[in-house]
Amino acid sequence: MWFRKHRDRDFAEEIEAHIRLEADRLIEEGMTEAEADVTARRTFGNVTLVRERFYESRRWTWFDQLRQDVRYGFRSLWKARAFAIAAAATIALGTGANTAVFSLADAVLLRSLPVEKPQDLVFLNAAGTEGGSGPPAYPYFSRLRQETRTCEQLAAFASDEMRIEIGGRPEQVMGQVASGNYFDLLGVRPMLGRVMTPEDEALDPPVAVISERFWRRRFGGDPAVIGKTLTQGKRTFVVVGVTPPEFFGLQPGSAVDITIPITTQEKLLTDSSSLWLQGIVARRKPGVSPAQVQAEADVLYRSFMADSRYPRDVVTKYFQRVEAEPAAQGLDVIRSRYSQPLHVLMMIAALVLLLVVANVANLLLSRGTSRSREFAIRIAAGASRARIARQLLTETVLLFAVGALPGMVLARWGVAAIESMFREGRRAIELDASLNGRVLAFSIAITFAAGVAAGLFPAWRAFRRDPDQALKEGHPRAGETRSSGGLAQALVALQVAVSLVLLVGAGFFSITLRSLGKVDTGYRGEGVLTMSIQSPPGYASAKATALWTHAVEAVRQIPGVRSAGVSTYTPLSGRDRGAIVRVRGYIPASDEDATVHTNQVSEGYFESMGIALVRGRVLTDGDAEDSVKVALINESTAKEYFGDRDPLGEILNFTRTGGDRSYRIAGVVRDTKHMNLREEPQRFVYVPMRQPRDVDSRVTLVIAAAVPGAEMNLLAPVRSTLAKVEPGMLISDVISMQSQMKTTLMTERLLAGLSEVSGGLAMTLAAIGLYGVLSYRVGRQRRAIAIRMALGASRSTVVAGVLRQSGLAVSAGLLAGLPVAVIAARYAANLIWGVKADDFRVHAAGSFVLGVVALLSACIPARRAASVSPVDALRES
Amino acid sequence: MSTQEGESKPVALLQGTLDLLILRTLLFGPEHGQGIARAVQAMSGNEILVDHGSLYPALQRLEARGFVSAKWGTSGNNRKARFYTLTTAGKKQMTTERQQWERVTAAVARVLTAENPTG
Repeated sequence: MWFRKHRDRDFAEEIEAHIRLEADRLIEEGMTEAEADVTARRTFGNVTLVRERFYESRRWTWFDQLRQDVRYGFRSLWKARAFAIAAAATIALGTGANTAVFSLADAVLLRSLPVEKPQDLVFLNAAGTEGGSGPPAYPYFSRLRQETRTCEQLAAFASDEMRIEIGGRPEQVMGQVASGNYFDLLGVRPMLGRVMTPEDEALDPPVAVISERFWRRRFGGDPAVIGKTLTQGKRTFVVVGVTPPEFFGLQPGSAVDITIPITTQEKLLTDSSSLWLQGIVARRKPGVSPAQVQAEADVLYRSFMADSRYPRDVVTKYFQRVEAEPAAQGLDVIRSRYSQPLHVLMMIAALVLLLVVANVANLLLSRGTSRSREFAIRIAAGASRARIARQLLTETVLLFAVGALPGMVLARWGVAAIESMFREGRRAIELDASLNGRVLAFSIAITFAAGVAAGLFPAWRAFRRDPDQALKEGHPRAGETRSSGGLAQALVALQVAVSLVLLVGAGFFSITLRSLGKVDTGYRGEGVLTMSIQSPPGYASAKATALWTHAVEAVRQIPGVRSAGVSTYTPLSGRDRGAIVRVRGYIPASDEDATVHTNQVSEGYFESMGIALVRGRVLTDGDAEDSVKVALINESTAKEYFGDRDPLGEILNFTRTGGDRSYRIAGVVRDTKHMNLREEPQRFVYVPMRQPRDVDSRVTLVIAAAVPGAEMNLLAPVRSTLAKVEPGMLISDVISMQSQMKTTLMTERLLAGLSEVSGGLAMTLAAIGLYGVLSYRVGRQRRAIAIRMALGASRSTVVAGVLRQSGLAVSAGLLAGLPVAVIAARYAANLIWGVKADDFRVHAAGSFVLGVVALLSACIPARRAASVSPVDALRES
Repeated sequence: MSTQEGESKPVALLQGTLDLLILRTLLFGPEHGQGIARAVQAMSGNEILVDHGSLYPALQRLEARGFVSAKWGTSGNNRKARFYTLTTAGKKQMTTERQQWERVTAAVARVLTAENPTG
């Protein structure tokens, strides 16, 4: 449109220039200036008319033609309905897959926070030579907030699973504590009621702001929620507002349910060494760069840390400086984890679309040959070849647009399925991968690009065609031109190449999933149910320990329960605890070497989890507060710290600032997987729950069912039993160990599933493509074949000829696809497991499978060629 | 398209002939719209005088078909003007159209001088 206006203005200038030049001439010829001007204008004629004609001519040409092309395109597609529907189906798959995957990628990798001007926000985090340590402590934040000159506002926040009570009923929510100005800084306006303000930090009264999701789930969207109360810890909070639906907090993948003032965490507000803050977010003043904010924050931090109690070397390693990172996309918890898998998914989807384009292009080419007469007549009637080519292109883009619409529906369904996959498990990831402007634009762009790419082939052919030749070709007698056959072969080769890459990918990812599924986890997950149980607030530590003891004993009495135990956490739960220990005879080379993971467990834990004992004994109820402190270690710890020595009886010292804690090693258990299935075994020390180092208000109850598979049936009896032990106990995160395993393997499942489906689809499309091309050629060559057979060629020679034709295309495709498959496998190397990324057997297997499929699809046309009866064929002409 | 009312009767021009005249003019080198108008006037011995404005649809048609190309430049008097140049395709087209023109005029002439048109 701009271009049009530019041309209009350009032309107006040209007209004026013309008139001036004419006036100059007339002046030279003797007129006066005034006369010359008038005469020049008169000689020119009606300027307005000329300009209007220009405007009209430019405006209507391309648009009119486009309208014509579109109408004609619809008619052509309607006439060839069957073909159009088949093509549209594959297009729907191709565009749908790409749209779905891009939605995911957009939600995880690209989206900005739904706050005001996210690009002006930064996170402040401390770091040192060894790594980062998260945001600095609250006292630092307080000082920076007072003294800052580069930031408009600063806010601190932290979120975690929180136990609250509404109407006396306890439940678990994702809670967040934040500075009073948190919402104001982010520019989040309430959809109901009001948000927190700095005055609310006085906790007079304590207020809470809830999310829209929580409001709908828990309060049914009742507007009377404002003024309702909820209890957290010892305080009662008044709900004052609801945040809008799109706001979920600052951590993509996690959705905060309620937000309360940060001043509720009194003890931690003055603790300079505590690392409990999840983030410090700052909004830069206009015109201030992130580097300036970082400089100011860093200077203050160094002087703040000068008074720190940490040893100097620890400070240098983790608390040396402060960095300001862009916060526009929120805290990075899921981004880095899913970045590579998402890229692989996008590549798979792109390859599928390429396949669809090649397939459709091939179909169009073969259809084009049967439309030769139509084109020839149009050319004879005066259409330019360019016009026909353009119309074919328009028709193809139209076909792709028609196919893309059901593709969008497919995409939405696929996205919903994947969103619910992400939501499984203990650490549910909340994704909002719904359609937005960017995804829509992407979808339209790829549909258009794919349509143009596919349409170029028939359009180019139509453009190059000689009308006379076209008329001849329409006749069934004519032979096929070499060029058109070559193009079709090339497309088949492309399809074969793409199919190979997808098949190889499917091979690798399937092997990965299967290998990980068979990994020795160190525990036995069949029939094991786990859940978090939390004591009501106000329980003193001794009371809490007693509570767990009673709970476990009561649960053990339930019929159907083989054994039960509690622990701080379980394998693959994503939770972790660590400590530094010292043993006799082992000098650690670094703090790293002296660190072990710790878990507090009760008697019955190892039996319930099916973790085997290697030496010594497991815990019993005899290991209580008054007896000698014992601990169990796992094989890795034994090997690392004691080598060939017998660890039993050795003393383990936990080093803590202020006094050691000594435990005697009473047994060695097998290693188990801890955070994920791929890692090397970690060093673990198990401490009895009755001789704890810390008392947890929240533990994991582990129940082994007598009948594997029936563990979920135990849930109801367990709940009622626990309610009898302590009605205020909060039960959450109920999951069987087998479901946990599935959740841990979610990415692998996604990759394997998608690559298998696309591999299968690719193979099918390639086979159909090859079959189509071959049977078409055989059909065209019937006369030639008949003649050859009449002259004495045997049937096997004819069959060999057909196979040779297909063999060329297939071999070319395999040769082209192999290097791409190798490179792709190397790129995805760290996603693959259980097989080396350069293991050529996978590539060879893929090639073999494709070869067999190609052979099978060539069979029918070959048989048809062989069954040509020379007499009949010759008689037909 | 109109011609100027002068002493002699106006010569009715067939559409497309103007195109030929423009191409012919540009054979001598690049020229701007006003120059082309003047040249056509001069070459035709003031017989064919074109409403200068009606030159432009023909020029734009020629440009759209790729027979001429246009660029802004400066005229002899240091005035800004848009200059049209004949392209290779344009030269070829000119030959084609000229041959066509000559065939048509010869045919018309034959018909006019024939003794018995229906013989």
